[in-house]
Amino acid sequence: MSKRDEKRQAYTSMLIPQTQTDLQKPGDKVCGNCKNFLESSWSSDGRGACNILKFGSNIHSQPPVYILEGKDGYPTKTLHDASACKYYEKMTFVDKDGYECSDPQYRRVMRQLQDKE
Amino acid sequence: MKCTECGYEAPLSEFRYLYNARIDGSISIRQCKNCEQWLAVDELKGVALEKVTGGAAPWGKSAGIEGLAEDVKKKKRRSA
Amino acid sequence: MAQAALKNTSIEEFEKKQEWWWAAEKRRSSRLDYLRKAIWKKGAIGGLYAPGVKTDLEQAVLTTNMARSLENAPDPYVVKSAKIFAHVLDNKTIFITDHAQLVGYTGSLPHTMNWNPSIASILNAEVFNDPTSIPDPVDKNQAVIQDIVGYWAGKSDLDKMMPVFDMEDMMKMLSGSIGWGVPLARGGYSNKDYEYLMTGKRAFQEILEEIDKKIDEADELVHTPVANKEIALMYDKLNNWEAMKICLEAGIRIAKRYARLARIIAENFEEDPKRKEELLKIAAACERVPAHPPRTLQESFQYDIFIQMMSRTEAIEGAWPCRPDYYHGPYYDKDVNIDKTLTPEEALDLVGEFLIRAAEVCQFKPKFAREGLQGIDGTWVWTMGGVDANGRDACNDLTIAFMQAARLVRVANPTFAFRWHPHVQDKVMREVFECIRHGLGYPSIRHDPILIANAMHWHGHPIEEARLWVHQACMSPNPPTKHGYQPMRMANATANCAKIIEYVFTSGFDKIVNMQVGAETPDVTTFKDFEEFFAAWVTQMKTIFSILVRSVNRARVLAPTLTPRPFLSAISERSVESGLDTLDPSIARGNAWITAFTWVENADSLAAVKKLVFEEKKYTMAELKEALDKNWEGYEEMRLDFVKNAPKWGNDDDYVDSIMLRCLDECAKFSKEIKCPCGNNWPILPENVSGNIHYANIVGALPNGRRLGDALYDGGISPGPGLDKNGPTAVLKSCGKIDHITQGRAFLLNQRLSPTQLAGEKGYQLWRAYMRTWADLGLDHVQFNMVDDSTLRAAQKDPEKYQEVIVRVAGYSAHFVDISRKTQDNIIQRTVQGLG
Repeated sequence: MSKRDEKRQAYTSMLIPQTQTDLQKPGDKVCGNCKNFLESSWSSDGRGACNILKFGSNIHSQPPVYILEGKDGYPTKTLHDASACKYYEKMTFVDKDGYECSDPQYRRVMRQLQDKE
Repeated sequence: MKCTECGYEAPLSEFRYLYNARIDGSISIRQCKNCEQWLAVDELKGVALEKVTGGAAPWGKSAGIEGLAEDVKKKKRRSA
Repeated sequence: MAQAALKNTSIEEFEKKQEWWWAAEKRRSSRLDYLRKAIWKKGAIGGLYAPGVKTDLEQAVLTTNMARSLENAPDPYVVKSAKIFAHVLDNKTIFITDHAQLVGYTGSLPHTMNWNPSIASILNAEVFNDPTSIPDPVDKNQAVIQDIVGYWAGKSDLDKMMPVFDMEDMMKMLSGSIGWGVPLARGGYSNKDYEYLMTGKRAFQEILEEIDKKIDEADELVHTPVANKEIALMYDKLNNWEAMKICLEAGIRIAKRYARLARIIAENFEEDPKRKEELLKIAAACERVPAHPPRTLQESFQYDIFIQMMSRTEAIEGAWPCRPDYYHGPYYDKDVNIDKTLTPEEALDLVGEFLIRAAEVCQFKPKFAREGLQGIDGTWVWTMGGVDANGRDACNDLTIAFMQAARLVRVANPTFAFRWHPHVQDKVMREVFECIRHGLGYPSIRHDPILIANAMHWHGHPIEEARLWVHQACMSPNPPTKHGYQPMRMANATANCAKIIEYVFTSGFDKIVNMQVGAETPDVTTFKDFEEFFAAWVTQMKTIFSILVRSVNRARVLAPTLTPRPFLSAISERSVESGLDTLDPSIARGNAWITAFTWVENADSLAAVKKLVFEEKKYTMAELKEALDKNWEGYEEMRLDFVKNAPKWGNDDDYVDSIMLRCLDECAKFSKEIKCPCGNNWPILPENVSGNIHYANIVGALPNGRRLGDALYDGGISPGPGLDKNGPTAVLKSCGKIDHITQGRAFLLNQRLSPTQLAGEKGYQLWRAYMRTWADLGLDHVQFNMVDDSTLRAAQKDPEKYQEVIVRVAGYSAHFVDISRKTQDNIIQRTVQGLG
């Protein structure tokens, strides 16, 4: 497979837009509430990348594929199911007011992940 | 470093860095993860100074505000 | 303010205290006062919409239902697009605000923001996710939104475009690290062919007749007993013309709906005879425009509002390019000076209301736009003054009326940009200054002769067209002419330039988004001298700019077929004449530019590295790299060294100024190598809006002394806040070393002045002297904040009491309380210059 095809395959999931079911309430463990998730500053539709897993990883395959070496991060989305990911670490929400500007490290904008406390 | 509001103690890096309003000064704003308060922190000394409230400017006033920023030649003429 | 206190304090007393907003409230008419207070605040506050402002589902539902019904219709795509547009206009809720003389709004109710779900599915997901703006009942409407999101998933303009872009470029853009914006024909900002549309020669009906003639000619051609390439291409043109007609006819129909509504209210519900008469005047205006050219000032403004409303029904418009004093001025002159059908006060009411109608416009915007344009919906930078096609002063009585009305209604948006030239009369300059002194933050001042030459240099616009230029957004000139006007400036040719210098240290790897974005330049610790370091900077610059420009070029090429704009084409001479979509590059001259956000950090960082690492050898590159990797954590002394002991831009210091010029030279050279599909150049344009805040948590630590999280500098060629130590003339001299014609498209300069120092006639003369130096040095732009620190700090503490304080953010103004704390502090830290 050419390098171009490889990238296309890996990134294709990022091109698929959110559907109706994607926006529904997720399970407890999703990429979006993991400490290692980096949200894209470009939009609020949940795109982002993992800070630990690298390009080529796949946490949804059976078994999950974990690649830790390499340059690019594993592209993922806020509401991707992370229940099978062994690197999942739940983050502590600090910012609750939603008024701080875009911050890939700190803010989660998905309504479904708002801290109810 | 110790939070001036709730007493929470942790390494400086555990207090979430927000920003430095004045790049040529060493007072920054960090947030205490425990009580969420914004704190003015002296980055040189690694010490929390006080809570930062609306309207406060612990890093000092804008340049030029205590006497407007003047042309250098004018300043030199005056002091000559 | 308590009514008694307001009543008992004179206008002069308020002005003495610099409480311009109270003075304005006392000065303006009761109509303007009512209309001003009736506006819902639509600009996002630090990124989120104000309480009470809701997303309008009406257009979304109408669009989706019509799209569903047309799925199996035997219509070409452009005709379907036009039918959807027409369906929205035919069925949308319309209303007339009490006391208003002008009508037309994109949403169905005054507190709503319109949402067109057919443009970008990522935007649709954001509508669902937005924590505050889903209308009540929330649960029910969330379900409606989910259904709409589900329908457009895979069908929106962006979904059609994304798969045909280069995947790698797209992912780098989607990371949000090097740029923002979307490469879409319906998501950006469009100028208009005002020379075709607003000179009184024609309106929609006349254009329909022109199109009918074209269709008849084409129809005859395609039925001649022959077949060839010309005929094969003619069918698409016929479809385009058909779509244009559908849009124009719908535009005439909705105006007649407003006319009918006004008559119904006048004849059945209004008891006040004066208001009845006003409603009948509204009806007469809406029956006249946009079908036929306007005859009065009211009709002219109404025509303009309708065009903007329709353009914002078809697309997301992030700006409002126009030249209102130039195109509406003849009607003002006729009504007020010649026919005397309007007194100056009555005209002022109309002008003020026109500003208010523009201020209330809002479309739901994506996150990066809300954070990069805090406090406003988009940059409505209205071009005032300047010259006409023959080079003569174009300022008129309406220019002055706009300045006066702006001081009365005090909206942050629209904001004005004044085209200064050597023959502007003193009375006009005084009006301009009064706006600045009243703390509006506008007009910004543009150097007309420089920018006319600039437009000719970069894009080959003939001088007669270049002289007509309007601001495409906050800064870039564009002639509103047949081949010159730019139908969609796709904002993703907007570069986060601080990444250029950051990537030199990381060999192009972006640690914030965990992706190889830039070029894989050699390890920075291997560079032996500054020249090698600078060469890597040039490589990163070219790489970032190319990624962004490639996607825009691709979108421009694809736009006419994948994402056509039948309404915008219908009001463009080149499209009506040719039958091609207005975005077709073959009929346009091109006016592209790369907005260079976060620019000055490069010069300051390069200077610091050159001095402290390569020349004085105070630190090794490895030490600097480690300090930056650690975000200066534990390296505060070193960080302050890099801030204080390396020359900074804006101090008339050739050490760093020469580096700035060198960077610009490289960009200017590269700007002529990268071409747009029209075959034209891509110059850079340093400016920021509030991108310096949006990118604060995306740009890592830099050698100029910033950390990840700090606001970047406020934009363009403005010195870093507080880093200009040598006074205002030094700032101008640094900026004046740049060739504002050949080294870039335009260069934004923020300056902060003291309202106390510039009070009275003396203050005006000081300012004029400053502006003479500015003009002599050949700068193309300057804009001013004139609000003192104590007011701004008080506004931070008690925002409720200071709702009306306006500040100049960068290419736009905003209400101070609507911007985030970080942005507020960034503005307050700007140096207050003493003039004279």
